[in-house]
Amino acid sequence: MFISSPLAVASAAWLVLVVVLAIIVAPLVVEQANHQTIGLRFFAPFQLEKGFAFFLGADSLGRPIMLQLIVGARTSVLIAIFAVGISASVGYAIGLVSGYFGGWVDNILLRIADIIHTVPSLLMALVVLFVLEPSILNLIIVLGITRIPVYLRTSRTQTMEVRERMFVEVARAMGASNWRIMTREIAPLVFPTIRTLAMLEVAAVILSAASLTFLGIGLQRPDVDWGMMVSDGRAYLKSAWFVAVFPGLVIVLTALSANILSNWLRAVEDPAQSTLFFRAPKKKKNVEAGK
Amino acid sequence: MLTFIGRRLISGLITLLGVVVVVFFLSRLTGSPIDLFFPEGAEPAQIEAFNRAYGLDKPVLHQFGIFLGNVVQGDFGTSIWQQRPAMQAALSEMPMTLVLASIAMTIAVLVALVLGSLAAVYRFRTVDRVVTLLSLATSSMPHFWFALVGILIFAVQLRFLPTSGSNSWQSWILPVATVSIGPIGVLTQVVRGAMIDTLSSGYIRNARARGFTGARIVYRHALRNAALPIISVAGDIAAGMVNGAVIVSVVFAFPGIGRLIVGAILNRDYPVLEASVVVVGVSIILLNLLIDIVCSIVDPRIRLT
Repeated sequence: MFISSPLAVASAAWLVLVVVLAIIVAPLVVEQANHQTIGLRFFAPFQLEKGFAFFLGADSLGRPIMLQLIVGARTSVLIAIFAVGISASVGYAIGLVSGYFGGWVDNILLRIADIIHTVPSLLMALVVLFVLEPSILNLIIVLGITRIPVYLRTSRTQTMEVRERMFVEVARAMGASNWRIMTREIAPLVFPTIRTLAMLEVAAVILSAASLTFLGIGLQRPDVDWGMMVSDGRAYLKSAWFVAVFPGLVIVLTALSANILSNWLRAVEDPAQSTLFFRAPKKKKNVEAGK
Repeated sequence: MLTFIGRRLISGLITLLGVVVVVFFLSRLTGSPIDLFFPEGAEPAQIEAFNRAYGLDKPVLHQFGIFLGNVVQGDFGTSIWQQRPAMQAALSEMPMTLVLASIAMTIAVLVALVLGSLAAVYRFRTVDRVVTLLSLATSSMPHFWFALVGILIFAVQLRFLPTSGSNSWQSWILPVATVSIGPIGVLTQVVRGAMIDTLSSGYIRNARARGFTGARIVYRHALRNAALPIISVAGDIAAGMVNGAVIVSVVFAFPGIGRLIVGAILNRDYPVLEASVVVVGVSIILLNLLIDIVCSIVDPRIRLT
């Protein structure tokens, strides 16, 4: 089914490309990406005479945009994997405990989630990152913590529902401990939802990170991020559109790929809701045509 | 109903208290405003006077005690940056943001209703696929980039929209579009899901059997029952709109709470930052309460307890 959907294959291919470039190529080109060549200021894109590195042009300091995009990919991949990893695993675990035991622990955890939820995520991250030194690690910590409530709520609600099912009752009757019921009986059923959500969150986290670096908070050179590149190009929108447009395009493509894959994961679980990956059941023409 | 509202208001207050505590300690960690307001080698006496005037000379916990006492009375202190009461600054910027958010929300809901219903009615067909892909694309679009591309196309190339400001109606178009683009994508998906559920329910089949036409069924019968999930996600989306408002204030120099918050952070203006976050928090809590009440009116099966 995966292979039969070109959209899902293309999205996965793009994400794999980004990850490969980020892990293998980025470390090799960091220096070259930050190398300034004033003579090549705003070198126009789609020319090969200065080498492949300058195929997407150069920015206001003559740095090759293509290589910066690759180094920026590393930032995005690191942030996406680790921030989503932290918030998903912590939220999943706390949600399980909170939903399974209920009571005052549940109340307090829910209250904390509410507090994080009441302050808009970007605002929270802005305030926190202004305290901390700009670095990829701090971006990961901030985004990892602020996104926990998303998973916590989902995992908690699901756990509360699964907890009441018969097989949990059976397990308890057979003498299974709370720990065993949580990890062996309930957790596997909550996992698919968390996985789908995490894929969705990859897109959200990449977008949040880009917004923060666009605002000039969170990262500094020689680290490069796509949002930061858009921000650099903003002042030259009139004279050199490509400096701001290309990094943004890469952000959109990456976030879209993650979103499509998430949609595909949901389609696998619930075919009734999905449209991108399933054909309509064949109907008789006259039924549809009758207005 | 009244006990419900009362209980929600109390739990809202507790949440708000948590927000105030978090923001207070976070903002105190961002470094001292002295580095920003005084040149290097300023008179120690001057700095001391400044510290005393803003209560910065006391231990942090003591500062927090005084702060909390004042906050309860609605006093967030004087803005270090704008020389006026912080609460006043926050409240004076809020209406602009509320107007922007309301317009953006209205547009997002209308567009999502049309696109989502179309997708649900023509489920699994080309219309549905295009709408779904489109809605995924809009929710994958970073606000700031959408805004810049908007400027590039409509202000720089075509020259019929201004690049910044808020004086004419034209200058509202790009900010509103920027803030509503994300919500349109999310809401369209929600509308589609809700409409698919209701369109396959028994009473709709009954209506069809009685000979009502397709369009009438959609907007008279199905939309009403599909309204619930749409209203309930609106709260989360409204909170997300503040994120958009921050970006819009930076890109378009658009007035509103976003501009104030960014300015307060850059100027280490604690009182204004705290007041703005609390104002935003209060708005979101009230909005969520309102949404719960509206949900119970739309669907009486929901009991408010």
